[in-house]
Amino acid sequence: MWAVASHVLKNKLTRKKRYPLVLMLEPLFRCNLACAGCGKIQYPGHILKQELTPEQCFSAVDECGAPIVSIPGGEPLMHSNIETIVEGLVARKKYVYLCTNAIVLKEKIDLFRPTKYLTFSVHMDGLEEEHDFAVCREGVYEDALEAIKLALDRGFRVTTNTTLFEGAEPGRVREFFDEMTELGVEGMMVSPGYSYSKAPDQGSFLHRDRTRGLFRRILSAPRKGWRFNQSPLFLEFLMGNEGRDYHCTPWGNPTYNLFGWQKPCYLLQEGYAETFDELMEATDWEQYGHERNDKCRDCMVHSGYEATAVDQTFGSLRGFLATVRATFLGYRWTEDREDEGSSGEAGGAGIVELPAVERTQVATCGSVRTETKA
Amino acid sequence: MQGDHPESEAPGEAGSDDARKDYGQGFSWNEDDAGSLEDVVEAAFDYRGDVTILPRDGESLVGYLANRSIAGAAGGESWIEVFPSAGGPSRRIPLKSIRGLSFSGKDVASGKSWETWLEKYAERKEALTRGEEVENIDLFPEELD
Repeated sequence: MWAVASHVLKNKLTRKKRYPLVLMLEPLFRCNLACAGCGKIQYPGHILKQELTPEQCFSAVDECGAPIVSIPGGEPLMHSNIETIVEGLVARKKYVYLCTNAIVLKEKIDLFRPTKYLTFSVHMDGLEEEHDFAVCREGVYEDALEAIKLALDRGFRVTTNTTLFEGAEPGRVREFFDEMTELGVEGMMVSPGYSYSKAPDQGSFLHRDRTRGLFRRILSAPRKGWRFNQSPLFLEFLMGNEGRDYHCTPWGNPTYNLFGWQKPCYLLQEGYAETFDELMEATDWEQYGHERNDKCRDCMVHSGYEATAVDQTFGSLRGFLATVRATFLGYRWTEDREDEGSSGEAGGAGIVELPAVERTQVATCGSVRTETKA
Repeated sequence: MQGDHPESEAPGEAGSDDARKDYGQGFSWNEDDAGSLEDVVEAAFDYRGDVTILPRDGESLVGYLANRSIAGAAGGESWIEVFPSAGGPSRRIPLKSIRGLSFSGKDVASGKSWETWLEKYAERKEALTRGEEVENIDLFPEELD
């Protein structure tokens, strides 16, 4: 937390308007899963075989300067030099989140040494049935569970990373949080999936409201012991706290991969810049955000909004006190019409049906499902 | 301009507009055809397969079109960046040196949509409920050559 706080304060003091918090470093696109619709893995074989070298990774990290480096992919544990990359980043005192589906974590774990700078962020989209369904393969949940236990036994920091989609059942999600808490993970991350349609059906654009409703039902009465590895203000944003009507901070989580610096953000692929400076200076940031761009309209994903929440926390005394209050006294949200008549209790039974709009791009596993063109 | 779709699934089914429906595997464009190279380049940027670039001079290049820059009214040079399928570093090619472009490689996104999976999953679940024998529908990555 101190690393993030000092980074934010330093940028505030130098009046820097846009600065990164988390570098999304994708050293390869290859994966050992084949999740339907995943845009990160749908490339020709010669692209999937390519990897960023450790030196390319280090120079991207140095260029960007973010205190946290998240390594998604693809599956980063399939990178032939992943241990060298992690070692180099740890030597730079970067906080590394190695985002993995954990299928091969058991066989690769000896490549790593526990340190406060390294966290395995394991992709878990819910309990066994939900997770195996989301990753399109049976048995993955069990493999991940075993790997988490092993990593914890070995003294590694372990968190989970969950993306919630249409049809998520609040009660089942709460059960999942209980299970992960019991397992002993250090923290959990949760984010709504992201979908947008290139041919927007205006009648379907209830997504943000539905997302807020879902998160209110899940988080309004958090169980003792649940620990989220993310900003409590971001969670309040997901629950629809009126004071958290955040604007997206797409530059907060810049993405670097084989093609360069992805424009404008982790979710949209509108081109690539050669350098980090070019990304920051040449991108027309005003074009993006849920108020201005159809592609962004329903997005409430952490890669866009968590940086906004963190900026609020460390950008003002009021933000800091709100964070302290949310951490120790629980989350606050604003009731809306959708909640009228409902019990308002968390963990309510039944499915929260999100509207059945075209699911062309969905964030998952700290990654994305991009348009698959059927 | 011609659109030829060797795969059973028609391209452009994911909600893109009608004008883009022909941009799929097998599509090819030459400078004598209708339409602009800039539009074809935009579609190629979205295409999840290799393309073949026909230059005005020299040999054709097969590779993945990973990036592009289309100069606006302000000027500048328009270009594409291609990762050759034969290997080697990416190559930046000015648009003015291109006379044709085709979507020659397999569209690796074809048939891998979330909706397709959802359908298979639901069918399997129903069959299980009826007590029928069912096939495994787990998805695995394709073998890399």
